[in-house]
Amino acid sequence: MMIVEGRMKIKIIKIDKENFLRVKNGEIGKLFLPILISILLFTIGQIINPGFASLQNIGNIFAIAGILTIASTGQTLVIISGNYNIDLSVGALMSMGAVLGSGLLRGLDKNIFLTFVVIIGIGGFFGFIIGSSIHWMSIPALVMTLSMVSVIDGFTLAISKGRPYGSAAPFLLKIGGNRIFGWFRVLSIITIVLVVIVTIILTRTRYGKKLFLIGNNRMAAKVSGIKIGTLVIATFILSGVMGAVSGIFLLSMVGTAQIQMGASYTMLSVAAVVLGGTQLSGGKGSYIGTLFGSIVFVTLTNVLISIGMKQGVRLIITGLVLVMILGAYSRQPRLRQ
Amino acid sequence: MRTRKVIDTSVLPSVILFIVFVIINSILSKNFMRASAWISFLQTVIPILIISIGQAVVIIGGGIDISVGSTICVVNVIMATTSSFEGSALKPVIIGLSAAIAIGAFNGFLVAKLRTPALLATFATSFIGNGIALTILPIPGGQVPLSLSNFYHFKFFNTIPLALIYVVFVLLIWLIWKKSPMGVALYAVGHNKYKAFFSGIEVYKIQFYTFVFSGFAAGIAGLCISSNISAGDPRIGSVMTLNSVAACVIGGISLAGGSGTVIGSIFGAMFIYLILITVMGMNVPVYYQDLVSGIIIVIGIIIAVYIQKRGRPTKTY
Repeated sequence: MMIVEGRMKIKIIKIDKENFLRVKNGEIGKLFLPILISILLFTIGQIINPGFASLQNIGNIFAIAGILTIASTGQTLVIISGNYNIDLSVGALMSMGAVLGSGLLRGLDKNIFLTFVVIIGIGGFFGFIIGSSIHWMSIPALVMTLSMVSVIDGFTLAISKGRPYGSAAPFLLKIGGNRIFGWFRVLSIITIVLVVIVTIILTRTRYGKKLFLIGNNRMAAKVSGIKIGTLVIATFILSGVMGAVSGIFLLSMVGTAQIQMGASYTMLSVAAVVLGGTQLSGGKGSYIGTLFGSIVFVTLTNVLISIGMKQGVRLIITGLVLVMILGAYSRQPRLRQ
Repeated sequence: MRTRKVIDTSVLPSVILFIVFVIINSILSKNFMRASAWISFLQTVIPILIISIGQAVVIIGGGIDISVGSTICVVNVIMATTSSFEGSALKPVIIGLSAAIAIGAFNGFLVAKLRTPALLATFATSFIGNGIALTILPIPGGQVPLSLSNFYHFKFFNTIPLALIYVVFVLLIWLIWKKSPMGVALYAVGHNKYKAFFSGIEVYKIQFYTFVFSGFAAGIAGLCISSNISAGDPRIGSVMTLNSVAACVIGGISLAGGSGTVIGSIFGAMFIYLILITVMGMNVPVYYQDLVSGIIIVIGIIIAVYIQKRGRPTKTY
């Protein structure tokens, strides 16, 4: 800690090596459980339906979980930032990214750069509106992001006139569909690179350290001279950008865009983040956890589909498993301590 | 000992917004002030009014219930499948309402007994509810008994719809709760559950009852919506959850819990539905309607929250 010219300023330079992935102490257990559950699910799937644990299928599951992980990036950062912040506009932003992306790409590789710039711009703009309303107007994040869903969906509808046009560029389709060694999707590589980058941002940069600090104790952060407003708004801008960009990746895997195609990802991203051991109250969590949370969720859905269950039964079982996982490690302390 | 009454001003923004939009609507369209327009408006808005009442009670108690939409779906498909068009209405009503109360009790069990966060617990329940609805009735169809539909669409002197009785019924139960010692306890739990616990209030019991009440309200709302459209649709309630939360916030109920009144949520819900009518009345092109109404709702929320900002830290569930 250094005090510079009378203004208090914390300089965090030292980083202990065990803390690199934020998996020390109790957090290792929280990562262990999702891994165990996924292995268990794969075993069950293999027993019931031989061929389930084939490399081909594992590659597919990783790719779908990758989309969910990319979509949950912003959610992880927002939830870590504390104050019960949450971003429920992820799904709407994804649909927006996919529909607008397909319209801008028009199936041509040369449009990719422009598309990414425009989509990032729009996503960042929506993120800025959400973040600034939450910070300056002190509107609860849950309400603000929920009500922005209809604005973003309305925006998508207004631009596309209800009929998504264009298609994904061939290069993006290769990213979403091609396989390395016959099973590992190119998309999974992007996911892994993203996980490394975000983990480094969370654990090795000033931004990440400040994010955990404002999540843990806002008053302490304020007293230490951290500009909470800038940090919160920046986090929501990042969340908006990542939400919109994940829409393009969803498009790259599916091929064609539909209105509302990302809507289900909103609550799935919250579930993935919580399964990954990030606390809803903020200040604690990791992006690696989110990756494993996504894998658990996608594997579960995949096992149920491979057994041949109807959608209704699948939803019931998913809900029950979610209840069990919540009961296992998302419980709040007793009132009598 | 007498306590001084303090007038709660948290309802004001929603009432003002409501009146402003009534005036705008009556200028935009001459038909708006006719009784027939009001009756059809009320018949559409009554289900959302009722779930907003339930949502308001949960939020005042410091929780949130995002499973109300799926509860409505469950009740709707039960209403549409357990009886025939000419058949008795008693069986579907009893089965539907008990299912709704059971879902509410399950939520209460998760939040109060297992101590899981309300947002996640009710999210998990909404999966289960949607799954049950889709299993009972995979595609829209079925028949709701005619007698229910006739009851819902009956009106006195062609001006007052009988359907309002459902709102009055739910409000009456809430009023009994509010006037009893449990009413004070509810606000205490929402405000600070630790202080409430150490004052001898049974915090877990109160939390449990808020979710049961919300489930019951969702059941009545499901009954209303089934009577109104007289058919079953396993996805009918999905949109309503978000509207009920927005209605509470516009109505001046703080998501931190412990403040606000149920009346506010009623005005909030009516405001949201008035906007949809306004946007249609303004002849906005069809593809821009969602965008325009969404922006107006966001502005409404900003106004409502900004007016009653009290400097309390914002906890969101």
